[in-house]
Amino acid sequence: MGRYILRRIFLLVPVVLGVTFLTFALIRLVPGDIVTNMMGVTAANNEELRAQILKELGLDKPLLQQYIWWIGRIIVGDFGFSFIHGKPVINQILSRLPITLQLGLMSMGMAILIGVPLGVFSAIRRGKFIDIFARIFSLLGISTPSFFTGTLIVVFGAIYFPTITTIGYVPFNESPWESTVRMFWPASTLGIGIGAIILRYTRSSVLEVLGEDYVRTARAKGLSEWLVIFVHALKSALIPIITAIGIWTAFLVSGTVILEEVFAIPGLGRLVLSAIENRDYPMIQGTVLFLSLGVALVMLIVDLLVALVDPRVKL
Amino acid sequence: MSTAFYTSAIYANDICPKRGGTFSIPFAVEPADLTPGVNAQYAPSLIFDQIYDTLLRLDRDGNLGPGLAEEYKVADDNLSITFSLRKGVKFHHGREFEAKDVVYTFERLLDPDFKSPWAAQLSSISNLEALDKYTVRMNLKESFAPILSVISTAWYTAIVPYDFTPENNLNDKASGTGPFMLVEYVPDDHVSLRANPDYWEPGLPCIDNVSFNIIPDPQAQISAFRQGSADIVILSDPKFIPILEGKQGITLQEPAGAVNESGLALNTAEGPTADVRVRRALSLGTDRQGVIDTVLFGYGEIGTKISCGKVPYGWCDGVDPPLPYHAYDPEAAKKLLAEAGYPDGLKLTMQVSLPLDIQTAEILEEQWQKIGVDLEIEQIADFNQQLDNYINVKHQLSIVSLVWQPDPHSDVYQIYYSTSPINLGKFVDSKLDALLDAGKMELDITNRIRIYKDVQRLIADQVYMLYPFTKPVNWQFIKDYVKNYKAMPSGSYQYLRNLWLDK
Repeated sequence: MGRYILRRIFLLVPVVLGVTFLTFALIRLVPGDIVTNMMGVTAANNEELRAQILKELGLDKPLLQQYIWWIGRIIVGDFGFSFIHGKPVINQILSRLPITLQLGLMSMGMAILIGVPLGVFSAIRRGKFIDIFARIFSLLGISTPSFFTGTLIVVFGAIYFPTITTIGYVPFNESPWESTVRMFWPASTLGIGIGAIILRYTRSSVLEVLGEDYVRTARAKGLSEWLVIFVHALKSALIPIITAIGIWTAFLVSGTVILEEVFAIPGLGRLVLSAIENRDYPMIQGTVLFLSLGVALVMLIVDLLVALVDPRVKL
Repeated sequence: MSTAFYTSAIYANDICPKRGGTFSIPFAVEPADLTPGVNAQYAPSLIFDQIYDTLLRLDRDGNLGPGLAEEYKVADDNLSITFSLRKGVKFHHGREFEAKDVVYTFERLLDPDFKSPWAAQLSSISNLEALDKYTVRMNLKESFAPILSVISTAWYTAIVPYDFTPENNLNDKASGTGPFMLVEYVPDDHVSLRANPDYWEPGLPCIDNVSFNIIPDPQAQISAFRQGSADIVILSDPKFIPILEGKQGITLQEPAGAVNESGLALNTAEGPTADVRVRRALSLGTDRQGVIDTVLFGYGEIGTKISCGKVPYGWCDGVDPPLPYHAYDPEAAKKLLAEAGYPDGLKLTMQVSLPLDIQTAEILEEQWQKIGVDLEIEQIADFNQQLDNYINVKHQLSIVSLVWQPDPHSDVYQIYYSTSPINLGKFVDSKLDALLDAGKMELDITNRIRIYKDVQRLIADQVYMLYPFTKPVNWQFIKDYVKNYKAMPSGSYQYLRNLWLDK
């Protein structure tokens, strides 16, 4: 087990390197110029000034050299300084990380709480009302973009429930209850969207398992229906569900970017978005590094969980 | 009897009928850096207006008035201006404001090591001298008319204290002479300010706190406003106006004139638009009122680069003599195109990126169909890229929304001068250059007005650029309990210091 984990952690390195190099190259290929952004169009056309700024920011060196230099500094924990704020990148990232983490965890939690039970009941009571309801809900949840649902919540809330504030962020250490309540709105927006997908995975996975021989055997042996489902069937059904949850956590990242804009939450998603708009290279690289590390870690945990649950996988 | 007189006298002398409260403003863009003069971002300037002051001040109608300088005198040779500074003004960190601070502010902006984007705007200044503690003389290399407007704009020349170093200290712990002091700036969340108890304008500000809350999404801003957590909402897209108009308890502020233009740049160097007849045809084939009615829901005006709101230099539709090729005449347009060698019409491409510009392009496409022009709209994902394309002449037509500038010179010089790298249409016109140079140096207002009206006439005649519409920089709705607030043409919240809350 230990060796498995170590092997997987070791594999993280090429993944993260690949992602960061791709980011590095892509953002420098995008047209639009950091100097113009900082100085305005007039000053940016002053050749001397431009050359000077580019030199200071280290952008006059070849791409590969810049990348290797950046990696070297990352290893010692130096993420560089934001082109726009002038402040250390790592400070911004670390202060925003808990916020997005909170949003992500709550969203995923709600998604699982919505998707798994509904999916299970939908499979068990196939064709009945709960199944039809679940499938309609799932279709709506998947087809409706999160920014639509989010905006709907914000606007409806303001018109019909003016005492409830749906936008903005309350720090968790200031008031855990307030913070959770405030985060409930964006989290449920994402929760519905991803929950709808998890519902489908759960439903089809449970249906498949319920049709298996060993389930019929368990029933024939006279075990209670609940025992059959929740102990025997679900355990096998869980494998694709957990894997799906892992994959969709990656998509959670893009979801938070949009929702942080709509709900005015100062998280990592908005940080990377404005960094891209402003061509703030160190900030983009730093945040992408963290986000890709986070996703890769989630995939690792998911794989471990699957390995634990699945008797066929030898650790 | 005497007590009644006493209290009513106090009431009459207090310019704030009610004091106290917090004013919340939703803010769409993160200010990033609150240090004045260090970059060209517009959003931070809205906060500079509260924390800092300028030597002179522009009011809503464009009149120049005293600021930190009580008086100023321009020398007879126009090569220097002497300012008499206000006494007893305190910076937020306690020290009294003096001439040395003014000298420091400008030298810092001109310092090549500081790399301020405004160094070019101020390049006519040779140096400043502190003649005594409260008198400063600004020496100019040449006569520069816009200097007075430039020094009234906090975006460019907010007066900063000489004993605060440039390295980011002003970002975290700003210190100015303005009506509000910085309490905290939480990136991407909010900027909060509190009233300066020692502010030099007697009795101001009326409110205790200001909170700029960063809410990027316009719908979310409107919701915050309706719900009550914001006291004002600033809309830059008129399509949101019908949502709020006529609702209880809120008022649409009278916009302070049209000062933003939609600018269509036509490539005059290559392609079909290099022919002036083609350009004139496009201008004749544009129903400007139609564009305004569709894209702006009627909330705009027909105008040119120096739009009507930029008193007194602006061209006003219906007031000033009509400009050539401005009236909608599709028949004349078709004739001109035929003359230019396109009797069966022609194909053109247009680049746009911002939402309002996209809508404008779509309307123009429809309108120009009628004169035989087949317009292909190229939507560029990112404004920065579109700007790149301009500068590298990779466009036939390109629409960009243009912003307010304090002086007509800043409005037009960079865009129209033949050697300027951001001459959007790449045109070379020596008559125009001569006018622009004259306008820069002419200090007599009447002459200046004439020069800039001539500039606009020339642009319209040659159709170097086409202006489908002009509009106010934004539309502001305020709650009815917000009193004595006025919208500024520049979009600045200068009147925050004057407003009071009736609740």
